[in-house]
Formats: sequence, structure tokens, C-alpha cells
Amino acid sequence: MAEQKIFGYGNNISVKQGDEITFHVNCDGASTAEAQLVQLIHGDAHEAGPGHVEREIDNPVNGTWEVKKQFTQLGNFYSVEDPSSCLAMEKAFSMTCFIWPTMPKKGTRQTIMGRWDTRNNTGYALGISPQGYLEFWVGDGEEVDYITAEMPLLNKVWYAVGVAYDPSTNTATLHQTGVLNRYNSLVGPVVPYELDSHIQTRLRFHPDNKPGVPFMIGGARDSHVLRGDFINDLFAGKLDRPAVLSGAMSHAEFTECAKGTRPAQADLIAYWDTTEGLSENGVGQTLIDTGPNGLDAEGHNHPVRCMTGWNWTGKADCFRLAPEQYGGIEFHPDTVTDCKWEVTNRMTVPADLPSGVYAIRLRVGPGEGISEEYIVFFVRPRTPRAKLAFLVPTASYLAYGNESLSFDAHIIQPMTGQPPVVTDLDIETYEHREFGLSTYDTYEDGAGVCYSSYLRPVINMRPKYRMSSMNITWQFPADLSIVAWIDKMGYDCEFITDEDVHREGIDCLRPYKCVITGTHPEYVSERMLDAQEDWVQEGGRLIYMGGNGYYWCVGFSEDHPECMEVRKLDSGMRAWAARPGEHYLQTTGEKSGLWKNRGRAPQKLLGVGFIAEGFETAMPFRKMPDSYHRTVSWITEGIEGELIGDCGLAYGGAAGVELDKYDLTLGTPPHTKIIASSGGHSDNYVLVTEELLYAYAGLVGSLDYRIRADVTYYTSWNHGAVFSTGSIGYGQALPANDFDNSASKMLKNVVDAFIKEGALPGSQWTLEEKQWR
Amino acid sequence: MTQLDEPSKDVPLVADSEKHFYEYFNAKQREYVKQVLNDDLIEEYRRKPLGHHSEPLERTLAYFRRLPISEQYALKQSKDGTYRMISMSGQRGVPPTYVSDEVFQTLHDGYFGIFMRQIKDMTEK
Amino acid sequence: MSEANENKEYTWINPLGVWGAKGGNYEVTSNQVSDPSDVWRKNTGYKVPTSKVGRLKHYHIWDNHNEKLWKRLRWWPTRRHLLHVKGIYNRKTLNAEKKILDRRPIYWVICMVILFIGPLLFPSSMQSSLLTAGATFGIFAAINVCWTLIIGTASIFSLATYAVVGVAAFLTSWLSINFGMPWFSLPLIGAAIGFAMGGLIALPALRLDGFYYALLTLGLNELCRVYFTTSQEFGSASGGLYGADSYLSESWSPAVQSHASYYIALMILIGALVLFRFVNGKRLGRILRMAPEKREAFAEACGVDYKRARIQIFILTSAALGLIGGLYTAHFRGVAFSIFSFDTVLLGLAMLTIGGIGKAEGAILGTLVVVFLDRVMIEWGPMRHFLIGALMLASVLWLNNGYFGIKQQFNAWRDKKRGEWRSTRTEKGGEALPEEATEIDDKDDLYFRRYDKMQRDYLKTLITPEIIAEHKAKPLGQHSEALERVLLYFRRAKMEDKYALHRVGPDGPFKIIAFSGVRGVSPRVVEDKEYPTEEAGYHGVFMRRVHDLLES
Repeated sequence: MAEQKIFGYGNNISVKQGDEITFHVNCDGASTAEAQLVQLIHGDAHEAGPGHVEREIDNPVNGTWEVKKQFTQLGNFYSVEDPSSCLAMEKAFSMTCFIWPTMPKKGTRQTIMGRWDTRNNTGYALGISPQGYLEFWVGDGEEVDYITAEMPLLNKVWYAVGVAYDPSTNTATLHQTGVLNRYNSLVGPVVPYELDSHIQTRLRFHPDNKPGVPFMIGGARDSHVLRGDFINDLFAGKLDRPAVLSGAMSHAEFTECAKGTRPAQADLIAYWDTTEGLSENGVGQTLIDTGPNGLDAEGHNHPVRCMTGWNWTGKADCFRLAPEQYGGIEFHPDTVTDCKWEVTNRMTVPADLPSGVYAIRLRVGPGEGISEEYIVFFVRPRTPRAKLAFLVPTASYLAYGNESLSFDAHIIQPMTGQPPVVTDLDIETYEHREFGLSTYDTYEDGAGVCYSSYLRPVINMRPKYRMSSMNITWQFPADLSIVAWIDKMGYDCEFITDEDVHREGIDCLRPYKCVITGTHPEYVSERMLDAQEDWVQEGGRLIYMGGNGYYWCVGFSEDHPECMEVRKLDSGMRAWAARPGEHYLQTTGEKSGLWKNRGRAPQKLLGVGFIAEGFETAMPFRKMPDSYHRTVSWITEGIEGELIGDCGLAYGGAAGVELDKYDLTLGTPPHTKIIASSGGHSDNYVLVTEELLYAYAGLVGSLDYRIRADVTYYTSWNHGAVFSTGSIGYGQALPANDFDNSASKMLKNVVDAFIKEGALPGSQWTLEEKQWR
Repeated sequence: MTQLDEPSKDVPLVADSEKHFYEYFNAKQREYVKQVLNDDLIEEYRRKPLGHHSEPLERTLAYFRRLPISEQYALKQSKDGTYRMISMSGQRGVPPTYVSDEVFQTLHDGYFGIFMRQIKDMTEK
Repeated sequence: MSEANENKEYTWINPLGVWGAKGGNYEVTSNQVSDPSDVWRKNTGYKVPTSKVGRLKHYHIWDNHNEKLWKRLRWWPTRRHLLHVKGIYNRKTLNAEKKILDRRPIYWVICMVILFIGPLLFPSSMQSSLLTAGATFGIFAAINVCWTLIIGTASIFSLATYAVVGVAAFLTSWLSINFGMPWFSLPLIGAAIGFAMGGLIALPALRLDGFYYALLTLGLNELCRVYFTTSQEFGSASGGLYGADSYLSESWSPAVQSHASYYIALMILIGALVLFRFVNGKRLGRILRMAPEKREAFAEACGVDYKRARIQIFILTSAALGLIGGLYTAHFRGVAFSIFSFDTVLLGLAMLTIGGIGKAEGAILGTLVVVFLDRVMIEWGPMRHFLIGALMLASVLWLNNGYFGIKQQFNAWRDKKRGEWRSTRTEKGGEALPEEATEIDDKDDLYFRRYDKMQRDYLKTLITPEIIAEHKAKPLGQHSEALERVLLYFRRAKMEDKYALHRVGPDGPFKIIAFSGVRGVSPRVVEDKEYPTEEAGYHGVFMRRVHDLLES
């Protein structure tokens, strides 16, 4: 019997009562699945906590669903709508392009551009042969004929390539010349490479340009008996300014093209100007044809734009400064930002369903491990009524979506100080990488992943999931510990997400008096930050429950709100580093990277910012002298002794994993008080790289005083305030001992105070001290 | 297990709250160093001031090196090639001062002299 | 600490004890750690003598075309280029070079040119004998090339080749003599005769095994010999048949005749080569090479119809042999009984063996050697047959695949020698030697090997029962320096075969797995042992890593 697996996603992550949400499910080994709408309360199986807690909800969508296998198109490419078949040329034609291959010796065929049908071997295409040589091929349905270049293509070097084909003599001429300069390639001009190759040969037959075959840039259409049509032979690397010309161009004409001269409009059939549309605010998914026929190309799975092009001279390090040097578009054969599965079922969110964290639980066969799936979504209130809201960090969930650090990242074991603990689900999704990668992974060609979306199964955005490299819950399942705490304390709480705050700004936050963040809201857009800053000034009370929060600058485009873009740059604790010149977001045009390096360190809003990271063990907080001041002594009211948070589900303490601290030099409000700090972290805790100007021996927990978490508090305008715990582990400390612990007590004091209107406790004790002691 | 220090409540107001933690942290480090400091450790340093050290000695040295500049020492070479110990002021523009009249014949002796001085400072805290 | 105190036991005091870290291990028995630089100071050179490496460029390497247009011709109408050439970048200088992957077409052309201008180079005293020998060579080489199709490509051990040629030759001679058939009809009739005979001897080839089939064909050969020698019709009295029509006109001068016969024989050889090329290189040849003797079952399981292929090859080759038989008659104006004699067969076998069975060039070389010794070096007397035998024996004894297999055999032998040399010189898991370094492109790896060896040698001295106990008591958390150094090394290991745990069920148990290190390939289970808790699992992983370290 085939192994039974089930995976799925929803088309929306945040819905209001009355909205519709569609579910897309892929199943192997079964044709029906049992579905149940559940409300998720807690998702960590650690024995110190309550375990997995969910509540089943009645809904017409429950029951047996018909499910089937669905395939995913991996890889990005452009497809051209060509209704009048301008690109099915019967007369002489030429093609040119600039290419920067990243895996020429990949071992499989790669298509640069062409109108090729792999299944029937018809059409023509320009691409790279499996041995790594430039090649042009034609097919008449029976056989395929090739012309191959003489010298192999080199990794990460810019070439101008072209082919001139004359059917009257059936001669094909293939051109390849290097356009490497001091900046634009992996190696410099001192390396004695001869890059040119110009070959002419007589082909044995004419290409058969059957109707219905699409013209593609970066791939070719193939077909499979089970799957139907799909795109294969994908290109890895950058392309710039692909063009199709009429007539067979001469060697001299090719040389002109290679210098960058745009061919005359009269000679063009299509000229996809990759720099067209680059603006102050980025560029979209359409590749514009500035030739006479207007054959615009649509991008699939987000090819990465705003990348340096063949003519980059190094001085303009942003596409906004010199768009004509930024015609590069990068392709990756193993990327996916939209699975495009068919709808399996749909649900209208009932009007009486309270705002909260929900999922459709699907089970086939044994109903556990890979035979169980939770499609998670968040329900917002149509009319906000509560005073308290939980801000779900969906952008950060996307950033970590489907990470596979345990398997591919060499540094992960030294970092976590322990061997990973993987499950069948991890192995299954690693082997069959149809669900894409996270921004912590690299593509097969070594480039960092900069796009992540939720239109695909995200296996770590599920309850019960543990991050294998660290053996604790992470992001969504860890946040459920806070959700469970809110539920246990009986607060009337509503749920909003990053997506809502980004789209609606301060309007989304205004109804609430107090907003709690998740354990690790690491990725934020400018609009999200602006909204929260403004809301705090208006009197809002923010509780930052995380560590390493508000760290990365991300962007969303209006057309694809489900897909987040981030580029990791030269600084920060980062899994990859973007190449020079490619630091700016395609979706918004702003520089990505750390908010600290944009002039907006997290200390400005939260009072604390990322300082250290470590695993294996966690420590409790200890009260600091300021905690006794009457302006803030109410925060630690009712806590016996000095320790706060000496137990928890993440390594046994509330201060653990990623730690933030107070820093006046980075913008912590000057009147902020440190309520409690942790200490005695082990040597696995290390200082973050952006705080290092020079590295030296002993930047570890037992030797560096900076490695700690600070609990801070400050007040703003209109009785607004911000309370920060500065530690990822804090949220996971809440459920310990059935929610009866010091970390829980401190948080309760704060939430109780924050949801009340008017002045905050302790606001009267502000006169200058005249001490007797 | 050692008795935990309570962070002091009688702390003057400071502009940078970090200072509270810094002092507390150093107090904890001193506790540890006092546990491991013994004649063997001192002998180890005397024999080999620079280079690979055992873990307790290295941690002790790490504590000394991370003290504020005003509590640190250096060596000043005299014209006849001998050395005297100086103490850093820690204030921008203010020069260091001689600590004592003791003269060290070699650099090696000088390092050891500083080490013993720092131990003395620590035990007096 | 001095050398004497190396790895002395001591009580490690946990620096986090003062912070009240939970979970014990405030004081643990551990070992002093020696200076890690010691191992670097002790190892300052290779342990084996080293010498320079490099291969002098002693022949011309063709440059690439660079900016010039290269008009590439093909063997029209196929898609094969004239020469199988690849452009590569030299690993040492990055020069663009042309690498000719298969030089054989060049050698063939050179040899053919030599053969064709041969007569101009022959010393005039030996002119006629060399030309005659050359003609004989041409015809017999053609026969052997066809024979190679059977013995080499189809690997069917048939000795009936000369029988077919002989029968065709005799019958066409007889027809020409008695019915005056013109010379141009003789090859065609011969081909038809060959075709018929081919069908006859093909069928037993399907049923009989190698040795028995050889005996059968030998018997057939004998049958023909006895029949023709004792048959009056076929010239038993005169030792053969003579007087058939020939394309070599009597009216031509002897010099012209011998030149013509030489060149015509060469044309026949080229014809045979063309046949060989188109059978061996195409589908039929591929099928036959896939189903040699004793491996028919495998081929059949793959869906290959080898029976049909075998019948085809026999018929085709026999028709070709018959055609050659007809040409033989037309060339020599008749045929002698000696064509059936056993020594003809043996000489033929010698021709094949010396060159190497399976290759056309082998058949030609063998024929050349034997014909040269047999027909040209006549003054050596019986010695020359002894020499032929000795050459054949030497070829069989020492060469795996005849003369043309020498290069392959030599390379294999060199590889073996290299393997033996290396194993005496390299240390297991040690540094790369200068000769090994030529094979590694990322020179950073070379440094890593040195560094890793030093690390391992050093860390082996740190493994003691104390640190194992320390790990078992508390796998995660602050550790003494000795244990931490070992752990840091383990965690930094490369991904290939790196250990991790697999949680089997939601609450355990745990099994040890190892990562593949290859993107997309999932990890493998290392052992069946199950660990009840994570701590036990972490310690199990640690013990495995310690074991691997001590073994390396």
C-alpha cells in the first residue's frame, strides 16, 4: 500500500467572520480525508506544559472530503502570450540575450528562451546543454538537431549569447562572447579566460513550429501522462534583455548587440527590456516588451528582479540610481511561491465564530505524522470589541516557512550545540522538496531565498511541530503557548495579523488598548512599524513578548500580498548575504537588511534589541534595582523572591534562545527602566555579529556581560506604554506548572494594567528622590 | 551551591541603567574567580604569562581584562630597559600614574607583577 | 601547565555555578587540557619523502577559435561532426584548449593514406612481391573484418568464415569456367551463395554454446574441404579451379595488373570496413554487444530480440563473405583448395588474436603482421610460422585485448600501481600529498585536511573516561574545557555522515541517523537501537562520534 500523506494550504491567512476561505489539498495514498474545524489553544508537547490542546468546532465543512494528488510547478520563468504567433517564425530569425549562469554544469538541460515542446520534440530553443555548453536546437517532431558552442560556459560570468538561423540555407550560427568586467562577475579580468565561441553549421531539417506551444523565457514546456503539461529544463542564473530579431544577424551585428546597442526597432520581433518599469518603488512581475508587437511576458513564482545586469559598473549600488545597469533577473529552478493547486473545499467563516486561531484538521490513514495536516488560519473580528489583541507575526512565519537547516546548514550543529532531532515529516518534505524553501535556506545554486509565501503547505506553521535543529517549538507552535495563557487567564482577546497591520495601518490597531506580540516577530515592514509607533503615541500599550524582534526590513507587493520579500545583507545574524548592488527590495524599492542599519533599531520602539543567541539551556530573570521603584514596582507585585521565570518549555527557563537588551546608544528611550535581567548563560550563547566591531576571544555567555535578556518598561504620550520581555523563551515559560509561575504572574500584572483606560499605575511617583537611605 | 547575592537596593540613580547590571555581573565573576584562585594557578601564570592557559586561569584573566579601563594596569619601560607598573586613568586626556616604586627587571616579571596586583585589587573588593 | 601535568585530572568548577544555574554539574572531575598548538609544533613536515609533480607538455595542443567563426562540417547527412572535439579550460593555466576526444579518425586517415601511397614507397626490387602481398592483405583483411563482426561484435565463436568464402569462390569459379559468367556477376552470385550458407549456419548458433559451435563450424569447414578436394568437378586433380573471368585484363602489363590488383584489394577492404562501421556502430551491433554468449537471458529480460539479431548478422556477414568470395575468384581467376585448409583458418585466427578481437583495426593489424611474415619474409623459412605462433601466444598471454587494447591495459595497470604506491605513502585520513593535490580543484580543501588531521590527533588525547562521564551526566549546557573542545569539533564536522536523532513517535523513542551531505538526499538510519529519552540519545550520538574519532 502506498504511503499515505496529506498536505494543504488556504488561500488566505487572515479572514473575518463572513469571509470565504478556500482550501487546497494534496493527498497521496487515499482518495478521501476526514476534515474537522478546530480551534487551536496550545501546540507544544513538552511534558512541563499542558500538551497539545484543541477544541473541535461544529461546521458544515467537517466530514469527508474528496482529495487527490496535486502537482506543484517548481522554478520561476516567464511565459509569453502570443495570440498572433509572431514568435513562430518561418523565415530567418535571430535571438540574443545576456546570461550569467550559476549552474552550467548542473547535468540537465537548461532553456534560456525558446518555443520548445519537450514531449513532442518540436520547435526551437536556445539554452545550455547538460555538459555545460551553449546550445541551439530545433526539432521537427521526429528528431532533434543541435549546434553546440566550443567553450564551456563558466559559473557566474556574464556572457552575450546569440543565434542566427537562416532556413533557406538551413545554416545556424551560434555566438558566445564574454562581457565580464571588473565588478559584474565572480572572477575579474586578470583571469586569462578566453570566453568567445562562434560556430556555424548546417542543420539537417527545419524546426516545426506547432501551434499552441508557448514561448518561454527560462524554461520549456513538457508533458507527463499523470501530471499534464508543466514547465521543465529550467534555467539557473541571471538573464538580461532577451530579444528576438527578424533576419539572420551577421557576426558584426552580434558584436554590436554584445556592446549593448539596442537593435533597430524595425529589426525586432520582441525585445524584453528588463530595465523597463524599474522605479522608486520597485517593479512588478511583468516583463515588458518594448518591441513593435507588445508581447509582454508574465512571471511565475517570482523571478527576482532589481539584480545587477551585464553592464553594471559597480558605482551605482542601487537600482534606483542607475536602472539601466539593473536589467538582471535571477532564476531558480527550485523555487515556488504559489502551488496553484485546485480548490478542494471552501468555507464561509461563521458570523458567530469568535476571533482566534483556527485550523482545518485533515487526517488520512493512521492520522499522525505525515498523514495528518492542519491548515492554519486566523479569524479576525468583523467588529472589534475587546480591549486586548494578539498580533500574530505571520511575516515571521513566512520567513521560516519549511526551513531545512538541520539537513543543509553546516553551521547549525555548532550553533545549537546539539544534534538535531528530526521526524518523518521533516524527512518527507526534505526529500520531496515541492513545497519550497524558507528565507533561511539557499537555492540549489547557492543564492539566498528572498521570497516566501503562504500559498503552499508550510509544515512548521502547524501545532505540535518542533524545530528539529533546536528541539523546541518555534514561531507558530511556540506562540500558541501565549494563546493558551490568554485563554487560561480568561481574557477577552481578539486576533490580528501582520498582514492586516501592513494593509490597514493604524486603523487595525486603534480599537485596542493593549496588543501582545508573538515570541519572535522578527520580520516587519515599514508600514507595520509606522502603525505601531503611531498607535503607541495615541495611547496604545504594546507588550513585546519576544526576542530578536523587529529586526529585518521586509516588503509586500500590492499584487501579491501573500508573498513576502526580504534581502539579507552584510550585517546581522543571517543565513545568507545578498550580492553587492542587490540590496534593495523589488516590491518596495527600499533597502532591506536590518532595521538597525536603516536608522530604526528595535530599541527605539521596544526599548530592547537583539544582543545574543544560544541554545541547550535557559536561565531565569532576576529583579534589577529599578524594579523596586514605585513607578514600576506594580509590575513585579506578588512575585516571591528575586527570580522570575525559572521554569519553561524552552530549555527550562524564561530567558533563553534569543535575547534582547537595553541600549541607550541604539535609541532606547532614556527614561526606560530595566525591571529584570537574566544572567549566567552558558558559553553556547554568543554575541550577535552586528554588535561586533572587532571580534575577540570570549564573546560568550560566561564571559561577556552583554549576553542577557532585559525586561524593560517605558511610557509614551497619552498614557501609552511599551513593556518588553526581551526573550523568546518567555512565551514558552508561561504554561509551566499549569500556568502558575512567576513569569505568568508578571505578565498578568502588566496585561491587567494595560487593558484599563486612563493613567497607568505608578504614574504619580515622578518627583525627584530625596533619599534617607 | 553558593549563596546568591541580592542585587543592591541602595544604588544611586544612574543615567544608563546598564551600569547596574555591569556591576552585578562583575560581582558574580569575582565569586567564581575566588573559587578557583589558588597557588597552582598563580604558579601556572608565573611560568607562562602568554599563550595557552588552563580554563580556570583563562577565565580569571578574562575577568581582569574586561574591567573598566580605570581599574586596569600597564607597564612603562624605563630608559635602562626595566619596567614599572602604571595605572590607567580611564578618563579621556588624563595620563596614567605610577602605582609604586617597584622595578621589574624583565617583561615577564612585569606581567606577573600586574597579575598579582589585580588579584590584590579583587580580594579587597 | 607543563608537559608533565598534561591531561592531569582536576576538579572543574562550573563558572555558571555562581549564577545558580539549574541542573547540577557545578563541580565535575575533568582533565587538564594541553596546548592545542603542540600538535602543530610537532608536525612540521610530511612523514614520507616528497618529490615534484608535473607533466611536461610534449605535444601540441590546439587553441580554440576565439573570436573567429568556426564553420563546423558534419558527416552529411548525419549529425556527427568530423572529429569529436571538446573545448576545455586548462586546469593549470585556464588557457582555452581544444581536446580531441577521439583521435582514431585521424589515425585511420593517416593509415589509409600510407596504404594508398604505399606502392610509391616500396623498394623497387621488392615491388611486385609487395604488391601481391598487398593485394592478399587487402582481401584477407576484408575477410577478417567481416569475421570480426561475428567473433567480436556478436561474440559467436564461428570458424566457418573461410568455408563460406571458399564455397562461394569455388562455385563462382565453376560457374565462370563452365558457363562463362562475366566477372561482374560473380560477386553477386557469391553474395547469394553466402546468403544461403549464412542461413544454414545461423540456426545452430542459436542453440549451441561457444565451444561446441566452434567444433561444428570446424566440422563444416572440414566437410567442405573434403568435398571440394575429392570432387572432380572442382578440380581435385589440379588442386583447385582456374580460369575464371577477372576484371584484371590479360592485356594489361604485369606492372599495371599488380598495381590494379593492389588498389582493388584495398577498395574491397574499405568496403568491408564500411560494412563493419554500419553494422557495429548502429542498432544491430548494439543489440549484439548487449547479448554476448552466456548473457542471453539478461538481454532477453531487457526485451532485446537477440535471436533475430544473431540470424541477421550471420546472414549479412555471410552474404558479405560470399561477395568477397566472388571477388576473390574474379581477382585471382580461380581458387585453390588451400582456402579450406586448417592452417588457413588458424592463420586467420592468428590475425584476429594479434590485433585484438572485436575491433576492425585489430583485424587489419593482425592481417598485416601475418601476411607480412607469411608472404614477404619468405627467406625466414619455417621460422616465420613459429614467429606468428609466438606473437599470437604473447598477445593472448600478456595483452588483455590484443594490440589495440594496450593503452587501456597500461592505464589500468598504472592506476593499480598508483593505488598501491599511495596506500604505502598516505596516512589514513591524513594530509594530501603533492600528487593528490593535483586532483583537487578547491585548494581550501587541502588545508582543511591538514587542519583536521592535527585536530583529530590532538583531540584523541583529550578523550578520557572522565569527560565521557561528564557528558553522560549532562549532555547539554556548560561543560569543562576538555569536553567542550571535543564537542565543538564534533559539531563543526561536515554534513556528510553527521549524526542526528530521529524521533520515531510523538514522545520518542529516538534513533540515531546520519545526514547524507547531499542536497535533497534524506538521512539514513545508522542502527536499530532505540533510546528512550533525548538525553540518552544525545549521549549515544556522542559515544558514536568518540568512537569514529578514535578510529580515524
